[in-house]
Amino acid sequence: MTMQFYYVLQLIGVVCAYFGVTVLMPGIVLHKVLREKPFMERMLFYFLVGNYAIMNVVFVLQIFHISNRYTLICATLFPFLWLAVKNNQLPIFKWYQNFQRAFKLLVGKRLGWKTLVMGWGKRIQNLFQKAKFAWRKVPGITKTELVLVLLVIVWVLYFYGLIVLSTFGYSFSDILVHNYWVNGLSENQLFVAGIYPEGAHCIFYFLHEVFGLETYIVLSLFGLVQIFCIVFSMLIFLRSCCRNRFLPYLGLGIFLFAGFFHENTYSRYYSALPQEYGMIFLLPAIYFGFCYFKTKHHELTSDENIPTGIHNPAVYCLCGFAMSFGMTFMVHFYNTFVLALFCIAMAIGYLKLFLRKEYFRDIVVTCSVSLGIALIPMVIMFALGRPLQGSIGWGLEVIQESLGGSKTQSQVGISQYPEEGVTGNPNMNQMIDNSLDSSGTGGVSYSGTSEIINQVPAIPSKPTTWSKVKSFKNRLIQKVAEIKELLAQNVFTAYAGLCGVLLVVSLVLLLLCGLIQKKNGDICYGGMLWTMALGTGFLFLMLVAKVFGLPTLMDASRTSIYFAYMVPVVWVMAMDSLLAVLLRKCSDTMKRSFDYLAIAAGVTMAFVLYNHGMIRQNPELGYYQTNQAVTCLTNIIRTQQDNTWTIISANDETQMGLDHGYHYEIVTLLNEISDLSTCESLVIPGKKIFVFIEKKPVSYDDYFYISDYCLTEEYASKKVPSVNLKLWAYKGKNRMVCMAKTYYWVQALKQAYPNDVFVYYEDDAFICYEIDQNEYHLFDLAIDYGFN
Amino acid sequence: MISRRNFVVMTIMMLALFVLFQFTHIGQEKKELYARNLFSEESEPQSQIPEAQLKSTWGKMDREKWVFVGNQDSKQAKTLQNWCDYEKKKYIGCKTMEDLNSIENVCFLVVDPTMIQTNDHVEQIKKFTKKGASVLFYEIPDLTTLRYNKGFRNLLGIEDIVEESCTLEGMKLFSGFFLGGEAVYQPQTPEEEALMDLERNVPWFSLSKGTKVHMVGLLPEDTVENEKLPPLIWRNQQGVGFVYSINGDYFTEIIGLGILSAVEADANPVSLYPVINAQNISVVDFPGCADENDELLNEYYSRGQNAITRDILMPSLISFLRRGDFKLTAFMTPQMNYYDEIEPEGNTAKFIQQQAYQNSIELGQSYALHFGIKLPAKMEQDKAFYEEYFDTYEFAALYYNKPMMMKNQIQKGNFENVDTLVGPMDLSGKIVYFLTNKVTKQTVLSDGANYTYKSDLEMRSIQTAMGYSNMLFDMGEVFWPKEEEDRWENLADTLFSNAQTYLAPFSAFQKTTVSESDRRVRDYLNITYAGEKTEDAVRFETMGNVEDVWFVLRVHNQEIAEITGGEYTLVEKGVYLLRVTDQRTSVKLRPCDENQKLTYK
Repeated sequence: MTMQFYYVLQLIGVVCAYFGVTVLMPGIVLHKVLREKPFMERMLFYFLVGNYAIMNVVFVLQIFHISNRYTLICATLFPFLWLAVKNNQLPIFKWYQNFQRAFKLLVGKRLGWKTLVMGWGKRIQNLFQKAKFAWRKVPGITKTELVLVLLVIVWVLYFYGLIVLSTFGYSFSDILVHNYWVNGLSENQLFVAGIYPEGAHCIFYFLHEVFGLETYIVLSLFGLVQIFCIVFSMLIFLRSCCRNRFLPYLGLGIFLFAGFFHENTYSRYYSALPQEYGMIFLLPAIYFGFCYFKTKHHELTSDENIPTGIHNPAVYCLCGFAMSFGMTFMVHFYNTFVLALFCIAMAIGYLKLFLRKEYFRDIVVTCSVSLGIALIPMVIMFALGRPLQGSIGWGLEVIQESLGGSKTQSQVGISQYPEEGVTGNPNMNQMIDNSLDSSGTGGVSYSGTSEIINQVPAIPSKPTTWSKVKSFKNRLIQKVAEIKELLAQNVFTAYAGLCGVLLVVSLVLLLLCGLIQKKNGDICYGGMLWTMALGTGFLFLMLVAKVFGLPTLMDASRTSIYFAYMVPVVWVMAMDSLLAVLLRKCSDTMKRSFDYLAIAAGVTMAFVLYNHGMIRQNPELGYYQTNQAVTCLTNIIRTQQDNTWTIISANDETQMGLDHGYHYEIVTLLNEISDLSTCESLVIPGKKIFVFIEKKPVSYDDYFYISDYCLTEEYASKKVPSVNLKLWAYKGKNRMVCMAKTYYWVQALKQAYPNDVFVYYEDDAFICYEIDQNEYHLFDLAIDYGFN
Repeated sequence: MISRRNFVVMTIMMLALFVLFQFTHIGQEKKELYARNLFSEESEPQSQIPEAQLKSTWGKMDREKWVFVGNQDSKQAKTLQNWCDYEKKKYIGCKTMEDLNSIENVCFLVVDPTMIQTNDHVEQIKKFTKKGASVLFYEIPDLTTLRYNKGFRNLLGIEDIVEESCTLEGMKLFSGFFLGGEAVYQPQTPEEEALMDLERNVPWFSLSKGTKVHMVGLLPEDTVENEKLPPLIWRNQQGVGFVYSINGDYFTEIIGLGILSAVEADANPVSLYPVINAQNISVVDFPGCADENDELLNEYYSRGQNAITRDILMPSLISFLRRGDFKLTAFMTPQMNYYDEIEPEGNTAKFIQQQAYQNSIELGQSYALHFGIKLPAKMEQDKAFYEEYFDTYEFAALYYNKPMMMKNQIQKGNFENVDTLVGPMDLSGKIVYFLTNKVTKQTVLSDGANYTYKSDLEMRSIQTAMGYSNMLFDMGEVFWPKEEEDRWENLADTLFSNAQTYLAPFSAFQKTTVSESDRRVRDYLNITYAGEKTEDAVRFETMGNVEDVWFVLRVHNQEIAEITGGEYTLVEKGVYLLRVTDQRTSVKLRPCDENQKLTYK
């Protein structure tokens, strides 16, 4: 079986497991309760319930240190079964009586096996028939939409899937840390590296623990599942908010196909990163916010008998909002920042309603409860002595600095340059400069370019009105240029100005249409448009905060991801709102024809993008392991007995194979045996040792190979990189030196133990050696290999 | 009430059943099928092809040269000679190190460490290892020599002498050296102390890097790391070849054979050698036919010797046979004490033959001498008995316990009608050989009742070298017990558990009677073979009768991909038993470079 096919099977497993637990199980429990809701909204709600339940179950079990496969299954299955029986009013007792009767008849030979089995078969057949009819009754999806949805799926599979399935290892450096945190959960160590949102890690851990999926495979493949969820989250949001049936697909098309977005805005979707996972819950939170205002308004203004309690539609919306809001906090703070902006926008958009006590009380209680539930695990663990995780502290520091306007200059994340020549990717060399502003605003810089803004103090004479206007004009032009440059660097690779203008036009359109709708009595729809306009506006301000000397809450490179996510939404909603205004008094037929116009617009857009070479291309992703290394690791895990092997490599098998074996760093080994006079002996316990050697070494966290072949005496004779260089020991020429030395070390071992050292896997770029040793009498690996 | 018709039908059915059940037995009685030795066949006489005539269409067959440096009359030299005869290698003897210089293309050197006097000798050895030869020092040199000769220490892979003598609690033999897997020889209880008969006081060395240890001594727990335990058999890499060292008196006539096969397999990626493939159990002085020692036997068993044989011993042995799928050769004796005026009775003869026939037991004649009887006298006394009661049974195997007496009889031309003689080790030091042109000798290698650690090591050695074993069950102790412990219940426990435990790791080798084993021994001694070995293939041509010819192929971590001209079974990891079905046999191994054991590629 090829690794790719294996990964495809694993992907199917991940998809089935994840959606089975997060959609199917809540669906079985809630389908009768929510049968009146639109299909897509129901699916969304099930999804939110499923994710929320899993995260909280894991948190609770982890806090009590009783989290393992069995407790997780019990904590998930028993409530599910109980609720499924209760909500669906399943006649369990009647079934039991039937079973008892059938058993008695069978034992008394008054009923034959054949009759019994045929009876069961008929019942199963009926169930299938019901399911078939139920599927046909799925409302709201036409054949055309089905085709469009399939196109979206195919494109996502092609654009993201091919890369995800052909890169067996990780594509982002953060994943290694997340692997470590998920492994911490496996050992009942919640927040193992410090307090940090671990909602996504709970999901990964759940899939690993309950379904037996390896963590590194989940982390490699979940990015694809994630992007599907992000895309469908956007689709459901737009489909539910827009009045035009097909405009949402135009928005999806821009989000997925458009090549004028910077690759920075979509390259992270290839990996299972918590920030991007949290984005799934952004638009649902906003949507349920809209829902709440609409249903509450309807409840308060109509004479209908609205049920109370859990069946109250407004309560249902608040639940949806609370879960989404809570999950953004549980998964990644950045999503909460962005959602908070939209919440503020919502408060302004629905100001009249928001300030009324019925609404205000509900919203405040909901937000408090939601936040409270999300905070509880962190507060408990903090009280138990767990410190804050490093990046939270760093984040708070950055915010504090930006708010406090300090003039300090700090460098974060500086990498030490190694002794030998280094070839590094400029993206890795991130430095944060504090630029000094003579006006004393003390702006915080952003990564990328470092600009020093010089302002010449004005000549102390009384300015005229004309000079004031001129100065303002100049400043405005300068700001616009800076904004354009910032957008060009972070968001739009081409047509940054045009896109910026389009954005502004969209925001203005949304505001205007919102006003018109409010005037026409549709407060809720108007409020929705205003929320989107204001929210995106705030997001834009956060992106360009530095230009205006505002506090930078989030790095521009991160903000741009959210921005690029919202821009198609806003464009589409602007078009839709305009159409809604223009076609308000038109017939349904006219409105439906404009639906299909959206498809035409989409096709045209695709054609234009293609002609201008603006179809999105796959970005360059960093290498952290070679495919061959992951192939060998997978085979070793599947075929070797646990805890009987050690891998010696320059990769991250430490965390990837933590449940099954051990890892030894190449650079540590080489340093230990560099001076045999001080190294008495070096033994690595275990029956087998696997040594991963790259003939064609990759540069860690870069996207290129360093050379075509490095296993030469020239590199083997160079000095061993120091362990203190940390990751730099595995970059550039240092990596070549490590590989060459290791290769010659293995050759020396092979000469001493020819029947115990052999090739496990080899191709043109990679070789893996297997060393079999007697566990009772281990080999002394500190041998003279000629290049110590 | 039943009708007449029913009555008749039932009677006919009963008659039919009676006939069916009894017919086979009656038929057997009539034809006297049991009165023949099923295992006796015409045997090949000695016929080894002279070396000068060795030719193969695959090229000239030069036998591998194994050189012994030291006293040519020593038992170690004889052991190597015997081994070379069995393995079809060329033995070359050198009395001094200087004689070595004239020999080219040496495959292996077995060196008396006292021959290494100077650094020049060390360098001389190193020259051979650089050319690819390996060296075996069958004992440790004098410690003073070692202490002052750093070059010699480096050659052996000894970094330092930790202690000049230490007392071991036990020994551990690691798997992969001898066949049969790992073995631990460490008494846990006072009773087990009696089993320890291996050398316990040995020097303690710390080895240098690049050595691999095959056997270590055990010290009291938790005092020393595993890697620092006193090494007993180890290997040091030197140049292209290896230098093996034995610390202790292990290079004996029997264990030495196994060590030589083991080091040859260890030093080469592929090793091929012929084996006998026969596991024998020789039950001696059973059955007896005279009611001797009646008083004592009646006290222990409430019956006489013949009744004990019929009611206790035979069923017990048959049960053991069936449980372990063993084959027995029972060397019967009409009586043991010829001076007690008790004569053997022939009424048990038929029973004995029937039981032997039904349970695939071969009967032989025991000439174990007891109570001072001489061999000629016993022969004469027993002859009449055999002629009267076993006239049609062809005895193909004999057992004896006095080698010198038997040798005299053979020289006189007696025992020409038998095919094989079974007895203890004699002065030749050989396990199996042609006693005469037509008669082979098979040595009893272990005593089932007195199985010690050394016995086990010897068993493993011979299984490794020859795929052969011959375990003795001496039943004389049952009929003439000296003490209470000699009762059959106690002896049976020991015999059966020893046989099942110590032969179990070698279950890939076939169980045979002595006559079946004899035919294989003849082919083993007569055949010769040659061919070529590469890392991924072996092909060889066998000259001689290939009907019952087996080889062991040791390939470490490879597997057989394909075989032509033969069949194979797996003995243990990296070890295959090949049966040759054609003169030419070709074995393809999975090539090392392509040995990608990946499930997911």
